[in-house]
Amino acid sequence: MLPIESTFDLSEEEYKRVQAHAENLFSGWTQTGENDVEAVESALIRMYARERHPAPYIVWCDSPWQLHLTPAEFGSVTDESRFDNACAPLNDPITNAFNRALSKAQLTWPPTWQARVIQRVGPQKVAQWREACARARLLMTAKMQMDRQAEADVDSTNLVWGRWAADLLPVYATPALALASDDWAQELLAQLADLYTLRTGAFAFVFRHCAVFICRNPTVVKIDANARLHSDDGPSLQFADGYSMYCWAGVNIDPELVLNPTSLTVDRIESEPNIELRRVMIEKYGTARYIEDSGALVVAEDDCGVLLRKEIPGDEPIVIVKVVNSTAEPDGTYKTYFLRVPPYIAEPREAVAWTFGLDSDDYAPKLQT
Amino acid sequence: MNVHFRQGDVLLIQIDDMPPDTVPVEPDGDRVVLAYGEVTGHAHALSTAGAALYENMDGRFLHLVQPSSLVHEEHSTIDLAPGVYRVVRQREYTPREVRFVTD
Repeated sequence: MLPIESTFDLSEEEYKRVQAHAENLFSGWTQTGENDVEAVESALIRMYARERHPAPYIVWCDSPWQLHLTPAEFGSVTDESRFDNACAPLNDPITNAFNRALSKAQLTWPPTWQARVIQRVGPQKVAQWREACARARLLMTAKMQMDRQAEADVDSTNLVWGRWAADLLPVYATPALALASDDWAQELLAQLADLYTLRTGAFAFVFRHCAVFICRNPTVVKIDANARLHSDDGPSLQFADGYSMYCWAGVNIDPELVLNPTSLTVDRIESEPNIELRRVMIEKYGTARYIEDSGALVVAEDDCGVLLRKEIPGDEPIVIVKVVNSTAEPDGTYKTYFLRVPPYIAEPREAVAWTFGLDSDDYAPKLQT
Repeated sequence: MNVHFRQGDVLLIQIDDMPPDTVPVEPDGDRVVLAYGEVTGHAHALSTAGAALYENMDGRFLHLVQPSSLVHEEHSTIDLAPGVYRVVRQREYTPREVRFVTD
């Protein structure tokens, strides 16, 4: 959540109103259960009408993997994405001032996720869903021919907008609430109301020229105090078709780590190639316990971090630099990472410089975040 | 020493000119993405309004035609002046290979 109090000079009453609004939006994160299909579809039709577009063809998906695959299946009939700036209801100077914040609200699936998603869901289920898409696409094409919409090539972006992004809505609502009698403010609030309907009415959306793809609400959502997906006794996110995600403070982790945490060993931690997952594993294992159990000794310390060294009989030693993030977490703590470096390295600064291919003397970032 | 900026596992080193034989890297919608986090879905990214990414055999290079902001969901924003920057991904040592850090 952005520090709204520092962005606008609000009276105490206005601030309370904005806070209440923000908390209301914040609570929407964990919405589960039935979708209000009619409310969502009417809000979408109003949003498209404001952009002078005919009512979109709407496709509901049960699960994020379906939402991820579906727009491509409809490809050539849906045209390029619409509402890329879904949260920017009006093109005015105040909205523009938040463009930078807005860019954070857009979540793009990393390219490597597609293969992973197909692998997890199973090729057979994916094939069945694609067949269902092909049938729906025939219907959509027929509808669009009636609407005399020209066919156009689709771009390949899979920009997904969902409730995680909508935490920025209070930012847009702030000036409107402070100027509540103004016509412009009323219009803005009406548009925000539609976005709010979308936020609580379904989990995620892909907006296209003539179509909107929607992922239904999850059946389970569990978050931590910082509104990051988090659960230590089951999935953090689960959908009606059983598709689930296990998360630790916002990081997508192996279900085994949640369901059977005592199975975690130093060997398992050290064989994990992904640094973020390794950090979570070390956190779950306990940082001090990890250092002790791994047999590593502190050999040097400076303002870049701590250098640890572990002798391995008959093999080269493992040298690890322990570094701390420069940006604090929302709760004020700092994430700690362990990076392995070549065995000849003797100082933490030299180790961090090496991770960026630099010599120790050449490493002095002007700014580090 | 060239001026450099660090945001998590990405280092940007300012250089004088765009190296030869670079080809453009396709942006991701309206964002130039320097690196993705595989388990978080987060990204080190800039707006395409003032930024373009290029690559050659030696790596990737960022060209900024106007002041631009490098944003990431978990790191503070870095404001960058126009110019050319070499993009360095953080790497890690393994006995068999050197691998890039992914988060």
